[in-house]
Order: sequence, then C-alpha cells, then structure tokens
Amino acid sequence: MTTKPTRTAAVRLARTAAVRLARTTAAELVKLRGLPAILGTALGTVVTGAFLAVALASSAPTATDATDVVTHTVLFLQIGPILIGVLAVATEYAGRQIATTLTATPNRRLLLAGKAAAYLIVATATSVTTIVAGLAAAQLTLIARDRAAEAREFDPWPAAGAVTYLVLIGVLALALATLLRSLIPPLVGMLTVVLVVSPLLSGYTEHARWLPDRAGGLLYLPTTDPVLGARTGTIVLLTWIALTGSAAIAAFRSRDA
Amino acid sequence: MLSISGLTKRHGPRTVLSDVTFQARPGRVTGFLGPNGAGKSSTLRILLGLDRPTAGTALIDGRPYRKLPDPIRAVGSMLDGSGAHRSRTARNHLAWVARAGGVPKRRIDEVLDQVGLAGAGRTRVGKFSLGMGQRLGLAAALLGEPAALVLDEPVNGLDPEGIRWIRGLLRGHADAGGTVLLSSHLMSEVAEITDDLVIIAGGRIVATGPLTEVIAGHATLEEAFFALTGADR
Repeated sequence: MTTKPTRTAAVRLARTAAVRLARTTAAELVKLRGLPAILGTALGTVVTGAFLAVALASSAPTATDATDVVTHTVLFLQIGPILIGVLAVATEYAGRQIATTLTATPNRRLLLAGKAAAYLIVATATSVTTIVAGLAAAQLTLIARDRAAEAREFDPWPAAGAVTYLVLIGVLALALATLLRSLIPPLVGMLTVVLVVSPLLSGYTEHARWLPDRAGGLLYLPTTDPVLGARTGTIVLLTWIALTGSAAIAAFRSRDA
Repeated sequence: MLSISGLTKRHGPRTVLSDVTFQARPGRVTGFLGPNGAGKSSTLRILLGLDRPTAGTALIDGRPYRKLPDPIRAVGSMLDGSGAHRSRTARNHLAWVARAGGVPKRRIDEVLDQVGLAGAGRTRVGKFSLGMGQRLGLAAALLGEPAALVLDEPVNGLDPEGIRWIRGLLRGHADAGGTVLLSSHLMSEVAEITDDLVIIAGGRIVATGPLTEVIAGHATLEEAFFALTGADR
C-alpha cells in the first residue's frame, strides 16, 4: 500500500525532469540557430566535405572506393564539429550572455545536459549530411573517371564510424570550452592536438595512439593500429571525454558565473 | 519580498560584502545606492543565484533563486545591459529565453512592443546602441510577467526620454503590487524613483529605510549619501 504513492511521486519527478530537459534542449537549439557562426560552420562543413571528396577522388591515382576517399577527408572535416562545440559554449561568455542563461536555467547540471543534447542534434545532423554528401560526390567523381570499383557490397560501417568520430571529437571540444569558458584557448588547443601534435607525434612514438583523435580515428580506419581496434579506440576517446567532461561539470557547478 | 540576510562574500583575502542585510518589499521601489565597486552587483548576482555567498542568505519569498521552479516567471532581472550575444537578433534572444523559462511565445512581441523595440526585432544586437541594449535587457526581464524586478543600473545609457519611460514603468510595476529592486550610482535618478533606500559602501550597508528617513537631516540625497558613505573629502 505504501509503495504506490512513492512510485507515483517518482514517476512524476521523472516526468518533470524529462519536461525540463526537453525545454532546456529546445532553448539551446533556438540559441544555436540564432548564431550565424554556427549555421556557417555547419554549411561550410558539408560543402567542404563534398569538395574534398571530389578533389581526392579525381586526383588520387589509386582511388577506387568512395568510402576510402571520404574517410581520408575526416582529418579536415573535424574542424567543423570542433568549432560547433567550442562556439556553443564560448558565445555564452562573449557579452555575458551566461548571466541571462543561468537566470533562466539556474540548475547547472540541467543546463549542461541541455547544451550537450542540442550540440549532439546539430553535430549529428551536420556530420551525417557531410559524410553522405562526401560519399555521393566521391562516387559520382569515380564514375565520371570510370574508376568506380566493381559493384561490391557497400560496407556502411566506416561511414557510420566517421560520423560517430566527428560528433565525439566535438563533444570533447565542448567539454574543454566549458572548462576554459573562452573561445581561443580551447579552439587552438583542440586544433593543435588534432592537426599538429597528433600527426607529428605519430611519426616519433607509438604512444601517439592514445591521443583522442588517433584512438577515435579507429572508428573509421579500424585496422590501422596493432594495439587498439575500433572498440578499444572508441573507449579511449570516450575516456578523454569523460575525464574532460567531469572536470568541466565540476568546475561549472562550483564556480561563480 | 526579497530578503537579503547576513550576506558575506570573500574573494580570497578580499572581502567584497560583509554582513549585508536588507529587504525589498512588494508595492515599493527599493533603490540600492552606492559608489562603483561598493558591492551592489555582487549582492544582486548572489540574489539571482549566479554567485555563491561565503555566508548568509538571499531569498525570494522565502526561497533561494536556484530553488524557484520557474525563476523568470517569479523574478525578472537585468544585469549589465542586454545580456545577449551580439550576433543574434533581438527576437532570437527573447525566443530562447522564453523557451528556457517556460514562457509562451506571444510574450516576445508583447515585450518588444512594451520596451519600444517593436521595429527592431530582426536587428542584430551588435548593431544596437547602449540604450537599445538596455531596453532589450528589460524586455527579457519582463518576459515572464514576474512579480519582482531586479535591475542593475537600469538607466545606464538611456536618453532622457528613456529614463522617463523606465521611471513610469517601474512606478507602475510597484503600484500594481510588484517588488522593484534597482541598483544605481546616480543619485538624482534614485531620488526621483524610489520609495525605500539601501545605501552600501565598501561592502557594508550604511543606511536603509524610507527615502525621507534616510535623507532626514540633510538638504539632499546627495549630501546624505556623502555623509553616510564618508566618500566626501
């Protein structure tokens, strides 16, 4: 008899929490939509993806497979979700919008959850569109060059892995920006790691495989490392996200706005 | 009713607020007066749940801001201008605030109209003058039709017509039973608009009470202010 009201209360509490998360996520989506820089980045990433796919498919002498072409463009395409992740947070601290944000949603954890959810929606849409556009552009170019491989079974996993990687590397950028509450340091930090440190370091030491982008890259290039595979590589990237994310959540909750 | 009680805030060795206590009552406009750096913004930021106090409480009808179920429908606030990112439009700014606060969409047009920005909804905030930014900040504060208004330096950047307008707006809000707490360092503005006065200097409250009582014994509010804060040479 006594468990019934408790359960009803728990259900009501869960429902309230779900409604609040939906509301906060919707607000964060409206916020992202209102920033020309976010729209520009999303559009620019899709266009760049198609453009790079065409360029690579028409110039690489050995290119015969669209998936192969597209996975080689991810190195550059990741700039898109990294920018989206950093901008989603950094714009809060330009012009002190953060005070408005926190007066409307004083619950820090709820706010970060809504922000992350809105990022995931925008980044997933952008990444899926970019990879699909890249595959189509590469395939059409290969057909035009008469280089398209014999109709063999299309393996969707590397493309899905590329989408997942793009979304996840941006989550890391979002977490880093939340920790540093600024634009330039997290942006430069992320881009330096993925575009400079990681390629350079991998020439010197095999330990470079533990870097977030190297490990996460195994999502779409699964057989390139003797130690890590797609699954273990993803776990390494998720660990980077969990560590940075926990530090970011703890800092965001404890410090003054 | 806004109740600030025993509020203390330290940043490392520096004490920003010490034992700040006062109330802002419904039906009254309470002016929070003090020189720059006296602790006005720090107090309001704690009241709005943005910063944490080292000690003491700041309550809205008995609850801390962070515990209010729909905060912007209980307290409308403006700190430091528009509080909007410069690259969005005024309408987009109000749209996300409304969404986050559970306020119906129709309020966006209503408040834009109310603050005199009806024609500027599609203008980007970066193109706004200081006064227009201030009006947008007020629009966001009014969005949730709150009973209490907490405004940090609301007349900053407003032209004479704007100052007259905000005076009417705040008077009307208090006369309708609402609570208004506004900070300022401009004495003439405060004297014209407030019923109750709270004077802060160096992080301590030096006087509170109805305007007439605080001024009693001095020719003007300005004289009273300098006598109380000891800022006069």
